[in-house]
Amino acid sequence: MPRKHRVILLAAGLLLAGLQSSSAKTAKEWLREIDHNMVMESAQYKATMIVHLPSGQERSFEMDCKVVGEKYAMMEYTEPKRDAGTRYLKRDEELWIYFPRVDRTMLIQGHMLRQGVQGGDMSFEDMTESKPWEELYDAEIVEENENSVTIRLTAFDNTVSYPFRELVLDKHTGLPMLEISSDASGEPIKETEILEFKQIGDRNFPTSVIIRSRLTENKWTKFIMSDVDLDVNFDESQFTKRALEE
Amino acid sequence: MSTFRLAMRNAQRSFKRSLLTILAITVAVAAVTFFKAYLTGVFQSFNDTTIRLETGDVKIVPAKAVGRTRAIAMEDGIKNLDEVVTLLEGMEGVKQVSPRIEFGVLLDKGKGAVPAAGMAHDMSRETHLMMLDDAIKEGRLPADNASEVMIGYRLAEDLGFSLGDEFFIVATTSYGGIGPGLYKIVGLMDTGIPVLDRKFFHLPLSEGQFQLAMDDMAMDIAVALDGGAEAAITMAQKIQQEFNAAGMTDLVALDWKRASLMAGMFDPAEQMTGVMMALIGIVALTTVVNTVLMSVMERIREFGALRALGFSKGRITRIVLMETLVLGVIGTVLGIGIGLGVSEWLNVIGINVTSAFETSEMVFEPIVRPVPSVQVSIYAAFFGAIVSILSAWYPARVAIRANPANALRSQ
Repeated sequence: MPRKHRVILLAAGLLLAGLQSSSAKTAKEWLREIDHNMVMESAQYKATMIVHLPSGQERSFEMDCKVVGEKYAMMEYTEPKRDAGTRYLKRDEELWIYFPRVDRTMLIQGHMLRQGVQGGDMSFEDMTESKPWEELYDAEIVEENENSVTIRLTAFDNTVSYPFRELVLDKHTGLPMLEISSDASGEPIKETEILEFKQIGDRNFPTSVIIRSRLTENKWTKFIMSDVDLDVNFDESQFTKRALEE
Repeated sequence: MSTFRLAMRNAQRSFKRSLLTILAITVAVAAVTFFKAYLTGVFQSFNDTTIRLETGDVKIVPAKAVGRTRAIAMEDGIKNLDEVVTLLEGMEGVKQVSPRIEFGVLLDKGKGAVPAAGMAHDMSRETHLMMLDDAIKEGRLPADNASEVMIGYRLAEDLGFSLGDEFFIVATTSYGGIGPGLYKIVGLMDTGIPVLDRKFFHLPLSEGQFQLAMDDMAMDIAVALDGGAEAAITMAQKIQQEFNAAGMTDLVALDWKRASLMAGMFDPAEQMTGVMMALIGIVALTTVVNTVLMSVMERIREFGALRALGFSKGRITRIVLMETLVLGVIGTVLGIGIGLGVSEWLNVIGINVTSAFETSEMVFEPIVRPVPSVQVSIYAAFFGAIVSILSAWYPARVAIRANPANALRSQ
């Protein structure tokens, strides 16, 4: 082979190798990408939650939500009529509920944040959490192919809802299309699948998810977000007990 | 001289020993009489309380609830309630029908929630069942369909509530949501049963159904029968047949005993009483055997002489047995008299066991009244007879082994 051709081949080989090594992300980098897409400084959206029970019964709820990181959240039911006007205020680790029918407010203990809302598989914390996973979990790649990468997350401590998570991340969207959340013993609790997402600015934001219980057969909850605005500038006064009871 | 006259003569020969024998049998029979009357009272009280407050004569439950020790989910409760109630009320032999929902709540007292238990049912349907009008300490029963409650007076004291106050409760709805309720306290109840007065409140069925999102539903139905508890088994079968014919195959009709978890636990307790009676009998037996044996040993030469005179072993056995029976009859009669007397007295004044149930979750009437009866007396008489006969067996064997030659030599 002429010398010139060998140099070109060598250069091409080196370039390819360089490209490959620069495109192979670490687990932490993937996690950062997920956080970039899904963690919101603040957000406002409408949501529909459909709870499907093992008996076959289905209940549908509609709500207006406002979230500021992990600090504040306000949620108000708009449908069904029975629950309309009921408001939830999360402020730090406290959860307040206002019942318009009886014009009363109740403080619920912090652990209730992790209970399923309206009997579904989505907790209030799930709906409003917005802390970067990079700060909460150690990550390792379990499997990888051209389109997806499976990442196992292990919490740094037991303060999180799910000490273990396994994500199947779509490399093209940077979203965990499938997530299995497990308890401290490693027992799977639920499985979350992203059904739809929307591009908002430079992020891919999930707008429809389905959460299936791994503990109860034939039980799932669908959460659909619409009219999503991210990084909204809220006033703190919108997340006070006074605002809750207005 | 007849065997009976010989036995009577011998029984009177040592007054102190005979008295001791009579005393032992008296105490044992009195204890058994009172114990039997007391247990009859306990079981009767428990059964009455169970029927009145928990099951009715017959209890209707969802099929899913049968055989479970834990409560079923509210969404699995009795559906199409109006239809079920109409069917039951149309049946011959049914006196009253009361659908009920029992549920846990968080009771808000302004400084954080406290757990309590609510019972949603209509007081107008409990006149032959719970009969809570007898338990009103202050105020009145909640009216049907009104946002009113009656609460245990101790619950009111613990939480600082009084008549006329409003109180706010939060419960989990049938689909797992949070259902609030705001009611007015119109009555304070004193049932005498600590757990009910300490933990429970009562509200109208319609209010509970709304708060818990259980429209046209209930968790169970208590049925009072014209024939009372005695008709329960037959009527439960009849009701089940009606349900099956109407296509209500997800409902089960249980007689009160099958319906109550606690009633089943009392069956082994009742069987244990036989063991306890046997133990009392053994104690009495050892004393009586001792005294009769001493009497026989003192007269061993006499028995030998009787043998030498031609008394058969059987006749000697009958003599010893007759002696013991005479003393046994006296002791039994006295024992039954004393046992029945004490039972009757305590039946009137009652035995207050409230302190034993102060922190218990058992729904149990805290005043126990022993029930003296002919049945108890017969049981005690039988017991006395058995103890007397068994006590004579070994001493009789000793007596028949008396050597006639020794008796003649000592003459």
